[in-house]
Amino acid sequence: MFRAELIKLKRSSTWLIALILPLLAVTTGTVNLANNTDMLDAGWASFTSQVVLFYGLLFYSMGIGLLATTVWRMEHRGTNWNLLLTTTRQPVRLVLAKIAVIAVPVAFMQAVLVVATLISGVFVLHLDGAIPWQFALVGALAVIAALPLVAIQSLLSMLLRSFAAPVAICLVGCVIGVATVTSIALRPLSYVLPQAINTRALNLGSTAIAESGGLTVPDALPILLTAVALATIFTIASVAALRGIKLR
Amino acid sequence: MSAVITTRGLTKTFKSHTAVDSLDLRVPQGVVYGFLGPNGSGKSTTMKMLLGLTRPTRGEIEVFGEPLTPQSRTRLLPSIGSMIEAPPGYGHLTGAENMRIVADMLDLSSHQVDRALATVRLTEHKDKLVRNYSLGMKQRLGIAMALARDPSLLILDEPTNGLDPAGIEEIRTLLVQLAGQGITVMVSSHLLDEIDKMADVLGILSAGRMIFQGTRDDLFQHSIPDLLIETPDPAAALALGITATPVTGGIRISGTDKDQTAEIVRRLAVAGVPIHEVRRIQQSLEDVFMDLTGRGGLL
Repeated sequence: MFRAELIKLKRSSTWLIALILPLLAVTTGTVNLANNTDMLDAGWASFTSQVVLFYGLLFYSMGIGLLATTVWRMEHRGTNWNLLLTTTRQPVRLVLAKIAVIAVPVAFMQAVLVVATLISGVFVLHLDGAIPWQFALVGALAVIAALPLVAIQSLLSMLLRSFAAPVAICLVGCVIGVATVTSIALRPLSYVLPQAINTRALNLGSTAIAESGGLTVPDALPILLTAVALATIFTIASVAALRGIKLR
Repeated sequence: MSAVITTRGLTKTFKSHTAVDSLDLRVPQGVVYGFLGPNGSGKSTTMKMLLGLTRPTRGEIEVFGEPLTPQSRTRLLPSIGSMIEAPPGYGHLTGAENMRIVADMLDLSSHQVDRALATVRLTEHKDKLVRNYSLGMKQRLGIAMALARDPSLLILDEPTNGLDPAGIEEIRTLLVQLAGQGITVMVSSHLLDEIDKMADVLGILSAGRMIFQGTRDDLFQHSIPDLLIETPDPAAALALGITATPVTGGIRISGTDKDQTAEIVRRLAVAGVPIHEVRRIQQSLEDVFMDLTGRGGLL
């Protein structure tokens, strides 16, 4: 089933979305650093923090929203739902296949982010010091942290025929996410809001957001565990929705 | 003949109206079952319920002798090929890629895919993007996707919609050929002459209700053709108080059985009305169908 989903990604605009958004983040991070060398003087640490700042707050989550709605859009066309439901043996397999196939361009997006950041740091900004390979680890952890958002956006995009509605809902989540990460009172919410989980994961070891936590097991593990738990809950909800709404 | 599909009191009610009302379907094994009815009479809704795409409000469905439930559906679906409402297909992919998706979902071999494409004569167009396909090619791809799994039952909703006469004939020949191989084919249409030439058994739906189910011959017996009495003096015949319509060269009487016909002829003869000929008007299946569906909403 996953192979079938991969075939559907051919010639789809998911790859373009997954390419442009991280490049945009690296570009803004690079420009920011080059223009503020007096304030951002900590080399690689400053640079990666600048790159993930807006990417973690907005681009990454919005990218996931766009990818999910793009992946589901083709199913809402014509009578493709009939085809999908008469070839799907079990709803849970369809839900998992869709989550997995959305995660593919998400992982690609992260790979582009990490590679472009390292290239820009070395060849454009000529940063001193060792290349921060742990940034690649943050990039990889953020893919796991993204699973709840992937699952919930997949659910929304499955239920809503509109291309824009799930993306708009995702944006609302991003705005609330900014509040939960920056306000101490709202901070507990950042463990359950999928967009905020992304922000926290990407900012592990970052210097741009206060109290963002380090790239250590005590800081990373709670984020990853809640991510997996939430993704499981959204998956179960999606199976129920598929049974109750699409096969009603 | 054992039945592949049996429904009892199958009903689907939407908020405002009843789309399908107490349907008792019986689709025998290995036949082409023509499912006829005007647009909006509930054909697609019925077919969706048979495939488990829509849940019935009331009633039971048995497919291959097994009650259709979410559990049995998983087991039954791989042997049911279907195409509902319009042919599906991913426009940004080629025909071959669309077929590979179906093959992967149902664990089919490339041999099955190739054979299905060849059966609908789409092999030479398989590497074109589906969005560039003509409607006929899309229909054929939809049928190929239904056929690739080597189904025992094929449920096709208006498969000839939008095809030219040659395309319609081609599909017709294909379906008859498939039934010859033992596959049960349930095919719907709102056009009688499309179905007439291939269906062994007919089910006619009107406003959600089954108004006829049986063979073509049963259908003709179901509706009594008009009686035509040729006489040079229709006025004299009508003067006897016989309910009839005057037509050129005689009178036409509806709904008379054999005994009533004998009685009318006797009265005319007694009254001295000259009778040249008494016969039943040859009915087309179209007439019978129109008669049954009340001439509503048909093209």
